[in-house]
Amino acid sequence: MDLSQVYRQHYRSLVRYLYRRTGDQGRAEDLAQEAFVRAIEHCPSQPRAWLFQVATNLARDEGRRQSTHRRHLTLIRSQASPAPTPPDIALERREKVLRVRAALAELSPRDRDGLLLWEEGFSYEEIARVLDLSLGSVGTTLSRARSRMAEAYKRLDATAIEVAGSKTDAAS
Amino acid sequence: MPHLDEGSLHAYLDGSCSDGERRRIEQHVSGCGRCRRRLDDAGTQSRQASALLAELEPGPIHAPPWQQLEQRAAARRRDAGGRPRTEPLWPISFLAWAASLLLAFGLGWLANFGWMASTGGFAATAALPEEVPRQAAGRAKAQEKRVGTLSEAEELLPATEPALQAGAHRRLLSRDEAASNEAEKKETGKTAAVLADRLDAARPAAPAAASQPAPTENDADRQAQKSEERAPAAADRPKSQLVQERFFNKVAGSTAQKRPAAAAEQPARELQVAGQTELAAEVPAFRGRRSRSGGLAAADRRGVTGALGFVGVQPEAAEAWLGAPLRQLSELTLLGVEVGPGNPLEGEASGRPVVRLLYEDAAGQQVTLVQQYLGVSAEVGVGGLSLGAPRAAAGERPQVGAAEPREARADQKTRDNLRPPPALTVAPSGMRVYRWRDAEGYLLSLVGPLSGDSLRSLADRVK
Repeated sequence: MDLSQVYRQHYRSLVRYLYRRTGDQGRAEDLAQEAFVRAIEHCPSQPRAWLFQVATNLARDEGRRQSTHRRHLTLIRSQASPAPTPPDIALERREKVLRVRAALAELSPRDRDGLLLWEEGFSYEEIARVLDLSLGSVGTTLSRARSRMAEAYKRLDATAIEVAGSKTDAAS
Repeated sequence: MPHLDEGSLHAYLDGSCSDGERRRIEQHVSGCGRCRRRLDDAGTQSRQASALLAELEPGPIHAPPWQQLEQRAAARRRDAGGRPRTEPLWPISFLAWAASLLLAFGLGWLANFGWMASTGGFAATAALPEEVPRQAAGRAKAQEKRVGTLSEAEELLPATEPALQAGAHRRLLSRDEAASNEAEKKETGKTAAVLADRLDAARPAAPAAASQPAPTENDADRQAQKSEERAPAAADRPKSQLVQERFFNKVAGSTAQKRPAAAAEQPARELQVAGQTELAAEVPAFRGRRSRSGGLAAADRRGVTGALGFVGVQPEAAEAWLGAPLRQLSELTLLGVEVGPGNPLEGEASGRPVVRLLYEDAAGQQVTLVQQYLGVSAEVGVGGLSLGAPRAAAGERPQVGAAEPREARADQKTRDNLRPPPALTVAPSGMRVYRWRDAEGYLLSLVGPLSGDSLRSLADRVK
């Protein structure tokens, strides 16, 4: 398959994957473009899986260089709202996004990447290839990722409600 | 009794286990309440994870031009100071080149040796001009034998030059003569006939062209009929499959009938599309309102072809194809209705038609409701493979209610529990796809550039 065609078909998906992984859209686009530039040099036989594998490695290396705190600040500054919404709704949505991101951050890197790849439409075989897993362990990986993410979000959501309730009591 | 592990449950939910494993899981779940609850929980977790991740959507993505990335790659190579990567490195490239040459020579020698052994050698090629009358004489008969789509013949005949094609044709004829199996003779005769036709189209000055009997108006119908006669008995296959085959055979026949010499060189895919357009012109397509975006409605813009195999039809015809009442979204603007084959890659049953309803919402965004009626069956699985129960007649909804005996209700509860949970995915194009199966045997999908919550909300309003 022509790489330019792969670019047209999968660039958005790769950026979304990296955005969910890093929390920074600008950085996600840079990493995605870097992955494609490397693909031009290497001409992989299975470009889609190769691109996501390279992108995963780039994001991992990127994460080791940056601090978590700085990444979250960047997220808050760079997150663009697609359409104007009432302030309270926008704030609520932003807080929900932060909780989701925090829940995702509680997963191990392998579980998180497996879950994100599944959401991008990768099959079990492709996930196994990208993450260098055995095929039989992909189901277990996704199972663990989903259950932990659900538990983490539930806990964070309950904490947020508790904090919001205490603030309301204090205000009154 | 050993219970199912979480990995197996999730693999089953994701449709990623073998048929044997799927049957084992379903059999166990039907008799184990604990694993049934765990399966429900796993489905809930899967849906929740998808819904949460759908909240993490980037803003508008602006992809730079591809040429810009190529320039970056070229600049990087220059900066590296070495040879551009496009040039092979000595001596690896030399060895690779030499190996390729040897391989090519070897394959060519083997092919030539095999061809000479079966056909008598180069003398047969030299006699090729004398074969033209034979090709012409066999063309009328070949047209009757040609069945299926031209893409099948294209796959069998990759050669593009007349000389190579002539050699291939000679080989096919020799195979035909040497074949003892009657079925093999018919097959090679078919491909030889198609190749003969291509050769003739590539040589319009051939004197034998004048002797070609003109195709009659009945050729397309006769061809379609012969295709049906060769197919398994019609009574053994569902009516929708018969109608599909007749449709596609007629496309191939009408396309071949009117194909001029120049069009003979078109790829088979284009011809098939042209045939669909021609056939669809006979079927008045449903044209909804003009799109708010100012352009043509989706059905008009795509033409009646849409994806390959999909044609625009009236809603009433779509119901007949579906074999059940249409599921619709009454609050959106309907732009068009299309019917086509089921795609197993999308989790659909390949033997049943799929109906697409193209809508436009208030914001001008286009949403597609895809539906396939699978029927209600005791055996429930993923990928739309639960078949077996008779379908409800058009105008009636399958009744699943309190009037059923206890065993049937228990079976229905089991089917409900075993039904794959709804799934929200994102296609490589960026469009979100929300897919679910309802209790009445419909496999439904909503496709559009909307958020997951919006698609789910729309799904709740599909009736």
